[in-house]
Amino acid sequence: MSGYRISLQVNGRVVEVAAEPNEFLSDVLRDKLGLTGTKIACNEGVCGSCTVLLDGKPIYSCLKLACDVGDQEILTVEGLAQGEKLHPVQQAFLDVGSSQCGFCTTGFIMTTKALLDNIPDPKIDEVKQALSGNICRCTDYAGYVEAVLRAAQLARKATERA
Amino acid sequence: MVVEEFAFLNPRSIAEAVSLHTKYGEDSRFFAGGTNLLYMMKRGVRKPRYLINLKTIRDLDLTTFDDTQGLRIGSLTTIESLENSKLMKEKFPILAQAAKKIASPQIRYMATVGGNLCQDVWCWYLLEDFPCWLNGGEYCFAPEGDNRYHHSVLGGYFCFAVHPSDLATAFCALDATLVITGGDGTKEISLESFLPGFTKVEGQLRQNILKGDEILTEIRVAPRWQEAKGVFVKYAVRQSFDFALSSAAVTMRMENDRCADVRIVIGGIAPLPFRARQAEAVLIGKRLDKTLLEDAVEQLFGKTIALSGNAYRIQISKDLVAKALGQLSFPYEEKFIAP
Repeated sequence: MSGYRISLQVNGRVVEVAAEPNEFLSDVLRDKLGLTGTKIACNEGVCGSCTVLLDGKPIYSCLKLACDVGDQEILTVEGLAQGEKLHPVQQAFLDVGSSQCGFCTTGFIMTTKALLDNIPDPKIDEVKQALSGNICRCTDYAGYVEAVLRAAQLARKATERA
Repeated sequence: MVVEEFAFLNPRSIAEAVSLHTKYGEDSRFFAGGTNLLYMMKRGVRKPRYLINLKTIRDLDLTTFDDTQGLRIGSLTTIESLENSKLMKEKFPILAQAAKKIASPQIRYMATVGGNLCQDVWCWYLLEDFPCWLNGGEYCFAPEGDNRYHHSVLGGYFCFAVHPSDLATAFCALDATLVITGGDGTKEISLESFLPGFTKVEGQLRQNILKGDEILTEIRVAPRWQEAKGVFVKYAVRQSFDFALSSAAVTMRMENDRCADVRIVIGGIAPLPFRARQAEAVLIGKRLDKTLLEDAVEQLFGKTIALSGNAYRIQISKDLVAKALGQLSFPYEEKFIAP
């Protein structure tokens, strides 16, 4: 099977990359585009560490064929910060310090970004629902819930100041 | 895991999709959200050489409702849009409730209603590539193996795996019909006949009657069901990701304080959604009171065929049905049967 070249919109830029039909978005992002912020743990869509946003929706990039993305906009964790300035979600996770090994963290951050873009002021139940597709093996998740609520607060403060 | 090579085809119409399948035959599979098929491909259990993408066909994800035609849901509707649909929450909340219980948010954004109903059923033996009835062999490892989570309490037919679809359970409680298009044309059949338990289709043991070149395009619910109230409850090991250990979809229409019509469907415990017709018959035409509901729950199952490790799911099913009936009958009271 000869190589395919596909065009992807990643973090606001259009990139061209060689990808066979049997290559997954997670592998293409990490191995071909050097965007290793997206992690691969279970590699079969049951842990959430590979979560990226497609047109703002959180999906498992390990279950998404790269050739099936089309012109949907991909957002990875690398696309959150503006230069040196961290996104409120990143800042909140840093402030709360909820990570232990950190492997699941970027997945949680992307899911959180999607949640807060949809529901800027989520109740705790809504937070837990939204995070139910991300698994953490180190912590008891309480820190993550706190981080999400703090991120909502930080984002609100940013809009008030603006 | 490296998945073996395949070609990814993007037909523009159902006719083109069907003719691609006719051309490539058994080596090809229709592809929607991919959350079931790609999972099985990563495990090496399924190895299609051609994926025929259904998402490039226009208008397979439209949903309409009116009082004459009823509800029509395009098969490519994502689970997430069903879950959050204003129309579902207002008129058919049981579908939104069932959708919300499926897998996880990320899966629900990718997976489709059609895919959920047509999914390739598995148990953990199949997933580990054991040579079972669904994997080129002539044996089921469940009866003498570990059958706590994935296997039927109502018997099987060669295979004992349960059909895990929460949407199938909920749609069954709405007498849903399916529109299917393939090489032989288009037909509309009941969901019950679509999921008859295990059956041979084109010589292969399957859990739904879809032939290789057939595509589910639409799921329909008759307009009279908007007058029924319904509820879906599910019990699983974890609160997300897991298949139901048991689930209950109950719909009920009241007339003059009596139960005019009722559906009690139990999911996740058999190779098909199980209609508890005996229990339904207890309630029809009667005024509901706690004794009557308890009687119905007692008559939920006729003969059960539990395996060595899964009989506990029979009681869970009864508790779920009791909970669902309680929610529908006495919505403002405490749960009438303690969990």
